[in-house]
Amino acid sequence: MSMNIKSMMKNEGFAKFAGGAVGAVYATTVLKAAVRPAFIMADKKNDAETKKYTATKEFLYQAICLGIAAAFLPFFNRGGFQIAKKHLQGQTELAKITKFKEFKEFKKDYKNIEALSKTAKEAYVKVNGGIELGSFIGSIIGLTIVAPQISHKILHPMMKAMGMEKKEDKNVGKPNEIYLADAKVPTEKPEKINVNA
Amino acid sequence: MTNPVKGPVLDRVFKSLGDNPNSAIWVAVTIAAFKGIFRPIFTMQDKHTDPDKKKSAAIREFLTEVIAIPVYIATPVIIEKAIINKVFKNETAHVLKNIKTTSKFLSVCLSTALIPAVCNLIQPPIMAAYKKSQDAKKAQIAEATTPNTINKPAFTGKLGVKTQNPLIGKINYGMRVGS
Repeated sequence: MSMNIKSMMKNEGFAKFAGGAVGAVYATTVLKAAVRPAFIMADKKNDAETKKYTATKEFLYQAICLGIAAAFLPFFNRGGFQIAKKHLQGQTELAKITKFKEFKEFKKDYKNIEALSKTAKEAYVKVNGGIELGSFIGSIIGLTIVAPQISHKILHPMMKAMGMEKKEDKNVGKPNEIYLADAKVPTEKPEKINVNA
Repeated sequence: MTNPVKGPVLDRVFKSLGDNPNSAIWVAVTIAAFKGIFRPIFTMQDKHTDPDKKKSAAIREFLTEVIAIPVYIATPVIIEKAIINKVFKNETAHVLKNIKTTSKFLSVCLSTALIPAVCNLIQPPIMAAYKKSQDAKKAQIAEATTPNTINKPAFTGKLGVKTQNPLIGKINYGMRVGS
């Protein structure tokens, strides 16, 4: 077991995956989807129903985050490559790379990178940096701005469809409106009296 | 003249991110920092939640991310010093670089699992103190408004009918000029 972990730690391919922002974003999101609901369920202070509701909501939120990451990151990575690919110009060793897919294929084999000259390696690092910047921007926009908005729109209907949430009480948080809605405003005019009589 | 933002500055950013073994840590920290800003804002904008609950939820979300940032930074450093530097001290520079990169990634994963536990330790006393201060404020407000409400008749369901003496209405009505 320890040998497996040690060999995994030394593995060049895994180090390439581990060194990128994309891997960290996916791994942390998957872990959050597993760990956070588990922590909620382990809490002894809340009742079973509340725990189940909160854990399901948290799991769904993280699942939405994972979907958004999967949709956003490739798009922003491609954008980062498009911006940074100017550095490939004039590099004869990297001349065959014109598309994002080709760069990813080249990056997979670390021997390709090791074989590069100093200037070509610098160009490679800059293009890779462009892709990494795309990952940073994509994950920030996707996970911190878009995910909360989307989850706000679809999480409650999803919970309702699963039978875990009752129909929303529109009067929650509006005590004055409840007061006025329930009140019967008198419509009859006060009785007229003749003071001269 | 070249644009410094599009030119050298962006190139430096590309260079620094392109061969950075700490990418996993930085992306986790950056996401936590932005979540710490945006999540409370979005929570406070929710119109369907009770204002007190909103405020409490926003504080809790902010605290979670504030706790997450040092955990994401400290865990890889501790793991590297306590385990990696001792177990893998005889490795070549290239292999050691791979090991350190992988250990940082695994440390970020470990941090993700640790954060809820750390939050469970740190958050309850802070939230309890916040609740106590809110309760004290509410009690103060209630105390200040009590004299005005004590003589108010109980709400009967009909506005302006049972809350006033019928005679007063009749007398006032008759006293109007021109009626």
